[in-house]
Order: sequence, then structure tokens, then C-alpha cells
Amino acid sequence: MFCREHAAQLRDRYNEITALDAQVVAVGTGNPMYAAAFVADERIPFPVLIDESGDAARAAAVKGGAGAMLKLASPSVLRAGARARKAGHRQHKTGDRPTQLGATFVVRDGSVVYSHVDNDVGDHAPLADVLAALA
Amino acid sequence: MDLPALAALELDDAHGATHRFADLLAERTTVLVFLRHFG
Repeated sequence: MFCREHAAQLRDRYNEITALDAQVVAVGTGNPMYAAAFVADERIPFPVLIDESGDAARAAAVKGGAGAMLKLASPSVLRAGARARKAGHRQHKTGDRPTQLGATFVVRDGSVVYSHVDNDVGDHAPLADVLAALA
Repeated sequence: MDLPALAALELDDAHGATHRFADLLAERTTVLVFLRHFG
């Protein structure tokens, strides 16, 4: 649900992002069947890569582990869940590595110019910050 | 973020096409998003 919320936010601002001569590349856990359904359900216009081995997540140093699950009942996650449900997003069957959290980076000319490593499942990079990094 | 390690990786997309991060990241400025999972 939370990843769908973030992907939908990027989808909805995709034209603004490409107008800034940038692209979006998403990386998810799970398998090709999950990914294809996700792309179709959410009408994702950008590439969605499948990191079955977790190598990309490790290279990006995204957070995860049991600590992420312990935060599921935290006030910030409960608030984020209410926000996502209000926006129409629903929890689907959980894919692989459910304890892995997300992250958003802006990479330009071989350097990371923006980084937001999620602290819990409801935490995402503010789109305004991402767009500011592209400007 | 270990960008050189990431750039060395190749991953398939949801449609079965293989992408090399080094090529993707060289194309243009990239918003690289790690989704938690597809649920």
C-alpha cells in the first residue's frame, strides 16, 4: 500500500519530472508476476526493475530488518496508513523481503545529489524535495 | 549508496527486458526509487 502510494505520486508528477529532462526508475522486491501486476494496476509509465537478489538494495543501503516491522504500529506509520487509504490505496499481497524499506535518490552525472532513505514503511521522500533536486 | 556497485548490476524489468544500471544512470538525471515491495 505504501509503495503504491509513493509510485502513484511519482506517476502523477511524471510529466513534470520528464519536463526537467529527468527519468524515473523504480526498483522493487518480488518477482516478475508481482511487478507486472503492479505496473498494470497502478498504470506506471516508468521502468520497474525487479531486485530479486537484493543486490541493488544492498548497494543503495536501504534500511530494513526486524526493526522495520517493530515500527508498524508506530503513530507515524498509522497516520501514513490512514493517509494512503484516504488516497484510495489498499494493501495487496505482500511481496518478497517485506521488511525492506524504501528509498529515493536523484542521480546526476555520476553523483547522488539527493537522498532520502525511508525510516519506516510509511516514510517517503517528499515529492517537492525530489522536484527541487531536479530543478 | 555505493553507486559503482549499483552501476555494475543488471536487472530485469516487469516486462522481461534487462537493464544495466550504468546505462540507465548515464542516460539522464534519474530519480531512482526503491519501493518496499509491490504490495
